[in-house]
Amino acid sequence: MEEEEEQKPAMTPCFSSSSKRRKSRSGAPSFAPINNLDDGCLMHIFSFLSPIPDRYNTALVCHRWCYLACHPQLWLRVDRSVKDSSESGVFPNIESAVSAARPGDTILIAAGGSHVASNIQINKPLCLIGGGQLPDETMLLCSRGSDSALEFLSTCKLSNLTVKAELGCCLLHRSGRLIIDGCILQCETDPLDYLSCPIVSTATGSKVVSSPIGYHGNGVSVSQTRIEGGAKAVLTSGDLALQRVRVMCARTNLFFWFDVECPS
Amino acid sequence: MSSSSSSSSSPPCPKKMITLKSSDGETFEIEEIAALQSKTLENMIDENCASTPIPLPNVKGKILAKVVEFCTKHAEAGADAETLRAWDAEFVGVEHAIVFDYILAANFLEIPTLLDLACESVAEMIKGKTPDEIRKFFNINNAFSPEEEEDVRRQNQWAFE
Repeated sequence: MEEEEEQKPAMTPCFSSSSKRRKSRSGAPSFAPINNLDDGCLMHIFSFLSPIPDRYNTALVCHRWCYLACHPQLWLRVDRSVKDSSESGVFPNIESAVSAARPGDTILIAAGGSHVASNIQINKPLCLIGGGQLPDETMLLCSRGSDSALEFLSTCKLSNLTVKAELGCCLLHRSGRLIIDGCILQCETDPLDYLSCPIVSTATGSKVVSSPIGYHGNGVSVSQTRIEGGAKAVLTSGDLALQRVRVMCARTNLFFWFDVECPS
Repeated sequence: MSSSSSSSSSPPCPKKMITLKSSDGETFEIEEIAALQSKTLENMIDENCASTPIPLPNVKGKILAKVVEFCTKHAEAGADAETLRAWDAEFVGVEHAIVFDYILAANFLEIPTLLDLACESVAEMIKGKTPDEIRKFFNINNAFSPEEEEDVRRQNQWAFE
């Protein structure tokens, strides 16, 4: 659409660019027939693309595609109340969602109640998100007898979830980059707290590659996460070490920020 | 093969035909059994609205002709999967704008086979391309500023590390 500055007298016609964010519509708008399709159709097309790298590439094409490619409708969902596999993309438990997911997929775990998570191995990049407003509302429960709730052999991201381990550890990190954002990790409290540990990392440090994006290599990144119980927050049996720990004390909880990386 | 509840008083014909009317006034005949592939048409047939020509204001004549061809082909008994797949590939091997029209028509008429086929063929056009190449291919304006683009990249970066 043209600028509405036509009424300004005696001004050389130019685009008003007050900020450096100038819209790049400096020519006649080109007609893209594909944008005639409605949102549902475009999302259906994107559902045929694997998240890495194609769907992420479509997110960089334009605003509308970014909105649709990252839309929750394309996520897999875990909902315990699902009886059969009639609806595609909805799974009754986390294991089936993880095995059906493609690398780069996002899995939305329904809030309410608790999901059993027992030694679930994740060996492809996935993002697990809790479906509630607060992390407290989505609970992954690791009962006694399991070593860990989730075992990570690949880069993954967890967000807005609670992981509770009765014995053993919440998250077992073997390799890749684990990102934990806005979660709650709960373990045994006194007197058995030495038996369980929120995060265990057996990863070894690989060559640190510095790049504009950041640290490459095995590690765990924790932000805005509550860690309760357990004698130690992080147990490492590889080369990685705790770095850059920050704690914020709110009225009833402690929030942590830290990284577990190869010491440079 | 013919439906048991035939409301017309004409002599029983071997194939019951339905008439469809496109947005530009063209009429097309389609066998009822082929029309059943469209959930929209199936509902109309069930509710006995199919005795008069069914107006489809969202579909142009040119596209409706092809959709009728698709449904008829897929309703054919005894077609083996290989030949059907080859026929399908040829069906969507046309100009993009036409494939988009197929998608819109299949969406409106609720024909899951055609919708999947056309959407998957567009997905094939997107696969393996960089964002720039995708924009050039579909003639889309880049409305991202460099900062916004960096934001989107950073959001999704976790998966690439």
